[in-house]
Amino acid sequence: MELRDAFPINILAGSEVDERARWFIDLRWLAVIGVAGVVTAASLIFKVTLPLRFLYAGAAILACYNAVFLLYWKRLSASPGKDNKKQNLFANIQVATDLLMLTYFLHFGGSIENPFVYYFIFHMVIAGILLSNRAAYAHGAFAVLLIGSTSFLEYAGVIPHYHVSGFPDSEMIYNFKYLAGSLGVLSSTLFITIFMAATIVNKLRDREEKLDAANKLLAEQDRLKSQYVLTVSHDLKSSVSTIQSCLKVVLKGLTGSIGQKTTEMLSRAERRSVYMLDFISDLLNLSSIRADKNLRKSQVSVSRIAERTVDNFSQRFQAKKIKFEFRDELEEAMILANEDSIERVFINLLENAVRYTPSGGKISLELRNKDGNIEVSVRDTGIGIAEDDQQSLFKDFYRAENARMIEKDGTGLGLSIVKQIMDSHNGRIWLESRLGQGSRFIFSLPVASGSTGEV
Amino acid sequence: MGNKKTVLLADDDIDLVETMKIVLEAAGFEIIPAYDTLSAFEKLKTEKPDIMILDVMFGPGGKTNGLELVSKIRQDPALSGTLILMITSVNLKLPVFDSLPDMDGMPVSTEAGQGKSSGKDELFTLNVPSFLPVDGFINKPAEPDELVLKVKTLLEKKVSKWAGWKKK
Repeated sequence: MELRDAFPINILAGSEVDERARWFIDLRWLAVIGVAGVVTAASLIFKVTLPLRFLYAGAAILACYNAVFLLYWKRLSASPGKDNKKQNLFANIQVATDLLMLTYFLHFGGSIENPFVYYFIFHMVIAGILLSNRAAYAHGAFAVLLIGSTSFLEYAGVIPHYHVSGFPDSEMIYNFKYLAGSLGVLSSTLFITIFMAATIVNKLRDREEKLDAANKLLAEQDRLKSQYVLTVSHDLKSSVSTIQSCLKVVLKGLTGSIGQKTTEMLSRAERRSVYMLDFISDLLNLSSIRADKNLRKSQVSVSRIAERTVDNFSQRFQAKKIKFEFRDELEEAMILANEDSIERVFINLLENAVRYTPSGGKISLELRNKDGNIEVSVRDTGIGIAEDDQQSLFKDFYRAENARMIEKDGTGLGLSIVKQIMDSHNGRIWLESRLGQGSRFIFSLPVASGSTGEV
Repeated sequence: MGNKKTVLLADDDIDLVETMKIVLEAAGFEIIPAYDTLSAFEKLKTEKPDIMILDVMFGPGGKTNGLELVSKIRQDPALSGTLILMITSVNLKLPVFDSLPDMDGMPVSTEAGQGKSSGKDELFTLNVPSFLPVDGFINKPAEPDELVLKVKTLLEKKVSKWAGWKKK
């Protein structure tokens, strides 16, 4: 229990600790093979005398406890609601066990005389990165204590010293100056390693946190900006609609008769107010979707929304002598969506189709199921969209050159709104078009939408 | 003079009230203007108009907003039968029921009416009620002909279908 509090893992997220724990286990299999390989090669090829029994037994112990760790890891990562404390403890235990194991191998391989003593560095790097600073330094101290006490006990003759004859020529462990010096260099190396690893990691973590905070701030500021635009456009809309109402009253002659030129000028003003209202309404629509991430959603029938919109357009089609085709293969499929928004998508796409299709042209609307999505296509035989314009078409205020030639007044926001609505519904929109040959806009909405919303 | 139907026009937009007044007077109605909800409520009691046209958003000038006023009217036994035509300028689409919905568990008052500060942007974030006990909606800016037609159609009813809907 105490270990848990004394060795907390740093800011690392649970999943990261989980991944690293698995990484340790994979590496340890390599260590088993490595130890067995090196021992075998040293004794067979280089004819070095080694206490083979102990070393092979060590490799077996390593493999055994690694298997136990693997089982425990599987249980830990399968348990619902990951327990960070348990994972932290597990990581600390793994590092400590490995330190013990490395000391065991070194003891039977000549102790401080064996250059493999610097393998402690690996453990320090891992501890420095993965564990809290306190825990990392504690493991460093533990490593120094282990190898130091082993060497000194061997030096004092309390435990046997296994000299790897022929590797270092003499038994240097009995040279006190060498022993103390080597241990000093080793300890300082280990602590400096931990310090460096921990410093770099701390800086990275710090930056990550700052980046995260900055991102959140940006998102919030973006929302506030949309809220601001929303408020401003609403106030603008009130005024413009009142101006329009005033003009209409005069134009209708309710305030007395007016001259022809006055009527004409007031009509111009009224037309401009209509355009301005359209513009503000689009801006309002766009901002309200952007400001409010939690759109009210309910189960809606895309077919029914489509039918309703088409009904409202029928007069426009007739007036422009446009042949309209409607194919619906959905059979009343329901999706979780904001009804007004989906209606807005249909309106904007059909509006564009009517606007940019010359009279006598053809528009077809198709609804179908495709790969678990509802796919809607609006095809027209209109002016088409140049390839250069296609990229920017969904950007705010963007209008294609040929569209501007046909219709001077256009807000350039219709498709931005459509795109925004698609984004808020986990949907997608794209187009196929060739200049002069018509366009086809297709959007797709997931049937089983994972998005949350009120039903 | 006495045959003229009276319309209470409640909106804090003075210019809009003036415009609608011209339109409705030309159609033969008598107009009582009210520029804030308190005086609208008072005039409703004293003048007893045949119908009330109410802006959904009474701005900061009003003591409270239009949504709350509707709730207050429906709770007043003497006024609950008032015909109300609501003017909306936001995309506020609420179902208008043909018959009375089940009274249990149906919220009338809205979040906006619950003592929150009446900032203007609030209406965009408020939890719009699932329905409003009004008799009809008209969008701003209203076409003069459409306004007259809506008022005339509603007046055929004489009494709101919400009369006595909420006893309190």
